[in-house]
Amino acid sequence: MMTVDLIRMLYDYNYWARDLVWDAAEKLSDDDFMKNTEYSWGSIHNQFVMAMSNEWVWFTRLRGETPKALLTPEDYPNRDSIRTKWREIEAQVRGYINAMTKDRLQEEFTYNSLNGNTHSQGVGEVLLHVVNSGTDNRAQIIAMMHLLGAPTIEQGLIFYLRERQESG
Amino acid sequence: MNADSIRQLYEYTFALNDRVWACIDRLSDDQFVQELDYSLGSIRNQVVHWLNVDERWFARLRNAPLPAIIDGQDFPTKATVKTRWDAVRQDLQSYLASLDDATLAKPIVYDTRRRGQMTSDAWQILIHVMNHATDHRAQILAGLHGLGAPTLEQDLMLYLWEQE
Repeated sequence: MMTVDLIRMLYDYNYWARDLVWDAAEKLSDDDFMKNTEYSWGSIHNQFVMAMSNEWVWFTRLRGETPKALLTPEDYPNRDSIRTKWREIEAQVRGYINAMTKDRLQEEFTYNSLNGNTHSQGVGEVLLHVVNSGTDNRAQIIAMMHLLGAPTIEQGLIFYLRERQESG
Repeated sequence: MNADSIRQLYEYTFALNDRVWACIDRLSDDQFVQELDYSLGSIRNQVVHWLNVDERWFARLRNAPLPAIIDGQDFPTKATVKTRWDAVRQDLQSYLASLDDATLAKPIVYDTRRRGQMTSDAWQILIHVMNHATDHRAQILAGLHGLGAPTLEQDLMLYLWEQE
C-alpha cells in the first residue's frame, strides 16, 4: 500500500524536475526547439507535448472521461501554447492530488485505452506510472538538448529531496 | 509506503533492466565501450555509473561501509560488467525480500560530497534508486539508438498491462 504523502511528494518532484528541464529548454532558439533530432518523438517540441499529453490523458481518465486521442504538437505549436496548457493541466493535477485520500488511492478504476481496449488499474499504480513516465520523457528531452549542444540539468529525485530538506 | 509496494515496483525495475540489457547484448564489446558524446560517454560508462550509485545506496541502507567506486576502465567487456551487475542485483533482491515496513520508515544518515551530512528515510532512497534507474535506462536507450541498436518502450503502464 502506498501513501498519500508519497504521491504528493512525487508529484511535487515531478513538477520541480519539469520546471528545471523547461527552464533549460527556454534558452533554446525556436529552430532548435523544433528541430528533428531523429530520436524518439523527433523534436524537443514533440517530446514536451508528449510528456504533457501523458499527464492530460491519465488525469482525464481519472476524472471518469475517455480521451480519444493524445494532444498533438500541431495544437500546441510553440512554447507559449505548451506553457499555458501545461500550467492548466498542472493546476488540475495538483488539485486532484491534494484531494487524494488513502481509500481513493487503493481503488481500482476501469478505463479504455486509446485503441479501445478496456483495462483496470489501481489509482495508485496510475499515479506512479505518470511520474515514472515524466522521468523517462525528461531524460529523453535532456538527451536531445545535449545533441543540440545546449546545457542540461540533473533531474535526480535525491537532489529534490536534499533541496527540500535544506529549505526546511 | 509499505514493503510490498516497494517489492512490486522493483519487479518492474528488474524486468525493464533485463530488457535494456537484452538490447545492450546486441552491441559488440567495441560498441559497448565506444565513446558517445553524451552524458557519461559510453554505454559501459553509463552502466558502471549506475552500478556505483546502486552499490553505494544499498551500502547506506544496510549501514555498511561504502564500497570503493569502480572504474569503467576495469570492465572492458559486457560480460565483466554483467557479472558485477548480477551480483549487485542479487544483493538488492535479498535486501528487498527481508524488507519490512519498520525498516522502510527508518531514517538513514549519510555524507555527501556537496552538501555534507544528509538524512533520508529508507523508502525515499529506494524510490530515488528506482527513479534513477528509469532515468539511466532512458539515457542508455538514447545511446543505443545512436549506435543503431534496438530500443524499447519502458513505460510502467505497458508493463502493468502485460501482467493483466
